[in-house]
Amino acid sequence: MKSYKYLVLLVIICWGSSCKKFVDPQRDSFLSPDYILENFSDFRGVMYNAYFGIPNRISFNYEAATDNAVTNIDNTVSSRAARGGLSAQNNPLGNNWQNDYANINRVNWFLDRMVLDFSKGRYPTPVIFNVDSAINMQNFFFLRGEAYFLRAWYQFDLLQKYGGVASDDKVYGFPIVTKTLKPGDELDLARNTYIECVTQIANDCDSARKYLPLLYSAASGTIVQGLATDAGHGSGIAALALKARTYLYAASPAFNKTNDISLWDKAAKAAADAIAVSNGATATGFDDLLPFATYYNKNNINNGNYNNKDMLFRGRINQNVTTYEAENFPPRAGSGRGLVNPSKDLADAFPMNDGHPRGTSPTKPYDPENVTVNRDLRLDLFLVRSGEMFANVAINTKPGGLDAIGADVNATRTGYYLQKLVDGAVRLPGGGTTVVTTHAPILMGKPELYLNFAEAAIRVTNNPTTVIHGYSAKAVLEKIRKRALGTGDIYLDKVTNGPDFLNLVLNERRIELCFEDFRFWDLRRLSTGVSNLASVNAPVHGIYSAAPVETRSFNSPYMPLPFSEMLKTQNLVNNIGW
Amino acid sequence: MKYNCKNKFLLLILVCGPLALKAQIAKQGDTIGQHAKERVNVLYGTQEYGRFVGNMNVVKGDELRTYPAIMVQEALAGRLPGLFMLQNNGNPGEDNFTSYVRGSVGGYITLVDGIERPLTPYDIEQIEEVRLLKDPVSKALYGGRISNGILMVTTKRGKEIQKSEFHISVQRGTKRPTVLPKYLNSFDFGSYYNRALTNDGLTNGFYSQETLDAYKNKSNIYRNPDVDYYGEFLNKSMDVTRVSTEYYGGNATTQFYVHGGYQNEGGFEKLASKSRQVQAFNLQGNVDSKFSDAITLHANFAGYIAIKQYPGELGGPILSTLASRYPNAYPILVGRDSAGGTSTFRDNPYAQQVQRGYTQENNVRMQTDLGFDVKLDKVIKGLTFRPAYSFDIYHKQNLQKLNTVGIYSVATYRADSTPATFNTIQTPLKQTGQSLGDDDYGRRWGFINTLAYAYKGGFHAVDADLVYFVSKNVFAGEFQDYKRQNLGLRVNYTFNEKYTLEGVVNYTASQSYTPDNRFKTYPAVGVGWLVSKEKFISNYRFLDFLKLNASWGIMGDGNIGTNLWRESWDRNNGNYAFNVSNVGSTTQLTQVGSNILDWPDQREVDISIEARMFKRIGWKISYFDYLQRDLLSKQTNVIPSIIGGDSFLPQSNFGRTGLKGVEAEASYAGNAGKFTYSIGTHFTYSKSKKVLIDELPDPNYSETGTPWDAIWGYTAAGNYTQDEISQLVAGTSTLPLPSFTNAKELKVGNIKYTDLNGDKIIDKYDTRMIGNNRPRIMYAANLKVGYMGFDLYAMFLGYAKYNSALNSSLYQVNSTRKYSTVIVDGLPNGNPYPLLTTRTGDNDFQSSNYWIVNNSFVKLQNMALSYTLPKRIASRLKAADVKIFLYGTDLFTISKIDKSDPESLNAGLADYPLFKTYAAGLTVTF
Repeated sequence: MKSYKYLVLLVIICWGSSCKKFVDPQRDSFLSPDYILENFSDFRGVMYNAYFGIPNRISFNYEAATDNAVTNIDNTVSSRAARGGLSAQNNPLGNNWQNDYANINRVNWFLDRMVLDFSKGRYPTPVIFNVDSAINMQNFFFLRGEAYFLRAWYQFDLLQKYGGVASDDKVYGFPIVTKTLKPGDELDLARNTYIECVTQIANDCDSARKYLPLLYSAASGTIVQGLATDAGHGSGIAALALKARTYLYAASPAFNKTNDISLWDKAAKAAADAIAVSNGATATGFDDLLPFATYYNKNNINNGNYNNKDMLFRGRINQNVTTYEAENFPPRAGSGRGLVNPSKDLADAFPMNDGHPRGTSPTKPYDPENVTVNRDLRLDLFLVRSGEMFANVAINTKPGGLDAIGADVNATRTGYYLQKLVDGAVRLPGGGTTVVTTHAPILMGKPELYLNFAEAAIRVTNNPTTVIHGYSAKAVLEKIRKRALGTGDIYLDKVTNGPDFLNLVLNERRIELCFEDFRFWDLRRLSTGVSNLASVNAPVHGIYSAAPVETRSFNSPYMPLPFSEMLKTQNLVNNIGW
Repeated sequence: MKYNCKNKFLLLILVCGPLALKAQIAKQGDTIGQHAKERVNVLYGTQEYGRFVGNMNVVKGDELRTYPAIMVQEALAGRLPGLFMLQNNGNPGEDNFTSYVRGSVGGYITLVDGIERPLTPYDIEQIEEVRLLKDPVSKALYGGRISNGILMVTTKRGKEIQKSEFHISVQRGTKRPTVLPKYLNSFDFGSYYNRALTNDGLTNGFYSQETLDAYKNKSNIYRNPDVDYYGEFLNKSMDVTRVSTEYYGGNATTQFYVHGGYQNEGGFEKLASKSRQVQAFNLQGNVDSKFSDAITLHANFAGYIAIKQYPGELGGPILSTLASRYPNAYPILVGRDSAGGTSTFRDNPYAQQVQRGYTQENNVRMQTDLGFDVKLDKVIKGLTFRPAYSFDIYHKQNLQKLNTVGIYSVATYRADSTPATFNTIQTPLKQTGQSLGDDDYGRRWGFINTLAYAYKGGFHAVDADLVYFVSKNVFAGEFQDYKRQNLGLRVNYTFNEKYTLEGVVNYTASQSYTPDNRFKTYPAVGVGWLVSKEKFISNYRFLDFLKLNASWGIMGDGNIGTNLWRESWDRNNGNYAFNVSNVGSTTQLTQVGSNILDWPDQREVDISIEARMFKRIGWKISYFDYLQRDLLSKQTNVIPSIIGGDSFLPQSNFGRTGLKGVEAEASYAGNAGKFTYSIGTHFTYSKSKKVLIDELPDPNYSETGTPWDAIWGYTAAGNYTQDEISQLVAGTSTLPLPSFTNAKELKVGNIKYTDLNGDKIIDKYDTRMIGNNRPRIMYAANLKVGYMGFDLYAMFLGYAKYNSALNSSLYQVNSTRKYSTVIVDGLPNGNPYPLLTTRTGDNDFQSSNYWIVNNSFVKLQNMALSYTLPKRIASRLKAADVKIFLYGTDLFTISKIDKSDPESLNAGLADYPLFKTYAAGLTVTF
């Protein structure tokens, strides 16, 4: 009977070790969903994560696919796109579709949970943001406002990148998503109409404006008063500026097929509303722009303070970098790649310093050998020309010069190097002590707001001096020109008819906002359709020859939807031209 | 089958056939293959070979001893049909093999003494046998895992012999690189570099004629260095040593085995005082002891200590410096013990080998196995209970003492052009203390309970095994352990010694699924028919053995990431800095939960026919078909990105992968007088298939249905002429426009590509399958000849239906890569080297058939010649048996590729090259 003992032992061993719990996963470093809703910084972090999609630099990729500039090597994404590489299958400039929707989905997840539940008593918020119940509520609304702003931001990005006319001649935006999309939900969504998208963005901007402090200007106080230490968050003024930009797009010829003047009026009003409060709700917002040296100063970036009131929204601050410099310095300045080369066409668009277009001034002659003589201050500020001392190098881009084409693989193809946003005080590795700088991209600023108003207002009034929504187009444009031309502008008064004034506004927009990622999209929204591509495809010239440096061959003023999405879905319609 | 290798195989049969008829009847014991009555090892037990329904191959440890290496894997190459084993590099003591069973999709599992253990710590001398289980039924009891095969390694144990034996084996050899990459000297480099600059249309940077002359005359080694990096820093050879002592014996109740081994390999760096080296010590002892009629104890312990030493950092001064630095980059020494360099190149190999310091890696691994056989005949006749417990620990740590080396460049020269003054590029700093680097730890325990039942009576024979397996691996710095749990029942029933049916049912657990989905049941079933036992066949006297086996099974994969089904978040996603004083932490969804995530599985079919005839010929032919199903995928290319893409999608069961193929083996043994000889050969062919993959539903481009090892690329079609380029630039050409480069960048002589779909653009839609980057065919042949105490063994190993893209830095010398002799001699596929450029060369370096080479090769993988001393001489030495050996490995290669070893085109570029070994040895048994 000894063997029975073994059998008993066997049964015990088997029973003892075949515990079902054995394969339960152990404690680990994973954060489960319930933890997220317990800790306010984890919960808030879901929405903050969407901030990472805000550009942390100005991308020159789009600008270098316009008549403003080329890249010095013709195998860059810009050059390939502009020379016919943009196709239904392939967008060399990249697609934002997935990232924009990822961020919208993050925000929607957050907003779905940002509801007040008063049955919880003193703390009706989804998590307790602060033990002080009043501050708790302030935090709640602040965060809700930010979420709306971020959603508006990414929706506008979709509208800008993908909005357009389809083959049924209707104007479409993007599929609007305002609830968290989950696997298993219907994902083959059709595009909403352009105007539905505009309304959605405007509503989100209004919500953001409602919950967010207008400006982060207060040195002390509560968060609802707009603390300077919160600079960098979405703000009320940023929401208003975004709304104004959105309405300007909606009214533009590419998307306003019936030329509905009421849309221009809305655009003018949205811009005026923003201008009115841009210095605070109680002050007058309509004042002179800060000088260039202040506005573009690397130290005036509202870095925990409020030292640049004209900066309405910026991306992340990058400290100790040489982002733009390594990319755009002339090759002789350290190891610059001289990438973005402004065109002669852009240089020619700058007026004389009495306000007359180049070469038309009775008193200020134009000297092709010294292009900055008698010229608008901005030309010298934004472009590096031959004969200029820049980054400790005496630039010579004249044919045969040390910085001219052929002298180096990275030399300019147009005769100009980029100066705007590029810090000439930087010293790149490869020669002496390295000097770095700070960059923070200005994504929305007062100059744009003024130009948005001027463009919309003249379309409505057809008269520069007629006042609507509190301002006249001329008065607003004057602020822009005054900063560049001082009091010497004798030309503005001479432009009295509507169409001429509109052209003046648009030229002003081209030069004032060059290299801030406006031109590419402005050319498109101002086109009336696929048969109107002259300015989109304007050839780009350099100083060396009359022949263009690069030609442009875009098929359509509208961008193609991502090819992969067109394949995956049935309900998306593509824009015409693709 | 329409492949060359089949012809080779047929040829072999044809050659062997007549030989067989002529041959004498072999002595008993000379027959090949396993006998029907022989008990062979299967998972958690043994089985009569005649009742085995699956497909297995075995190689005995004694045969592996002919391979003078310290890695068991090296010795396994070519020994087992279906086991592909390609060595990636010759780094001493590193498990660097591209290895798979039957095909390049799906892995295999290595079990050492029944437990999943790495093979590296074992000494070839410790191996009793290596058995490869390939069919679904014999693999089934290792539940919860899918694999193409289980490599079942058994270490040695004592045996019942009259007198205990003491066995000593000593091997010592020298290893020489099979092929080292070759580069141009400074003069040739400069001349070709000038040519490249001209091709690029550049005007600066040329080497002047004076400089080139200086290189040629070697007139000034400081101003114009010309360094042969491989020659100056590497020895012609390195050493390998293997010493093993064994003592074993036993009587009917107790058997024991003791092993002590020492292995050493390294010494390839020429200058290093502490050159790269591996030393390993193995100690193993085991006892099988019968306490009573009912109880037998099995106890085993194996320990491994390895010390790896590297000059400089862990891994040593890798060869990549030798393979990338121009010969004229800098003088190696600018003064006594002062290493040269530039601000960019501070990796002077002299400094790295001599001055950098050293790293030592200590490895310890211990294996303990304890088990009992308890006969329960008194309860039920034929019942045995076998509990077995095992416990392993592992520890590895790196210790470093690393100096900062001094790097200098010459500032001014004396009149005789020797250095006068120096610039210090890097200031030397002696390290005074040691530091602890990587410190890894792991342990594992396992418990295998087997309840075995055997019955034999009349026409019936039944074997049943109920196996309960549980194990846990614990890792350093990780809460989540790896746990396995499986309950399996295997029943083998044979009727009349001829018809066998075997079934396995597994109830298996995984920690990787939702609580409802953690336990699953998987079946496997096989049949065997021992035809040679049939009456109608027994008339054919020449037929010794004929067996048909077929098996089918489904295995589930419980070994996926532990938390793939759970929604999880990451709070350490980075901070968003709004400004200097306001930083917000962010939270990222890292895994979307899925409560429907199910086990991927593999459906397998294996059919084989095996025969032996004339007591001397054996052959076997197998067919296999694997289909992996419900593979994990996020379906990012199928689901619209409006959901936000990858990070918003859960894992789902989506993909399917297929693998089909055949194996054949044949062997022949015979003798003629005092001559004994045998020939064995085997052949494997397989092809994989992407049955269902996550890809865009693009009507014009799909990889579904293509093999996993496909290389995709363009089709080269000659070279551009100036006219063609001008027309392309002007837009008047009928040629297609390349999408990857601007026509203006094209140069005369650049490669043209075919526009397969005729849309006038060369893009993704013009790519096709231009080759396969894994060998589809493996074949091997071994020959054994014995005469009067002399024995010769030779093994050839070949891989075929195999291509490679020549895209390593040796073959694609663009940009700043070092100029190899390839640019002079052309590519191994016969194509001339394309237009030399100093740029990245967007056009020519696209994946295209211009760079594809037939990578098939055959090697004389292993050869051993031994002489056994006559007994009378041996006994005078008080020894029972004395043998003297000469060994060789990788002795010669037949291949189209001569600039690299075809077994690994990257060997010698960043890692050690592959080596051929010449060794001598002695074994003595007392």
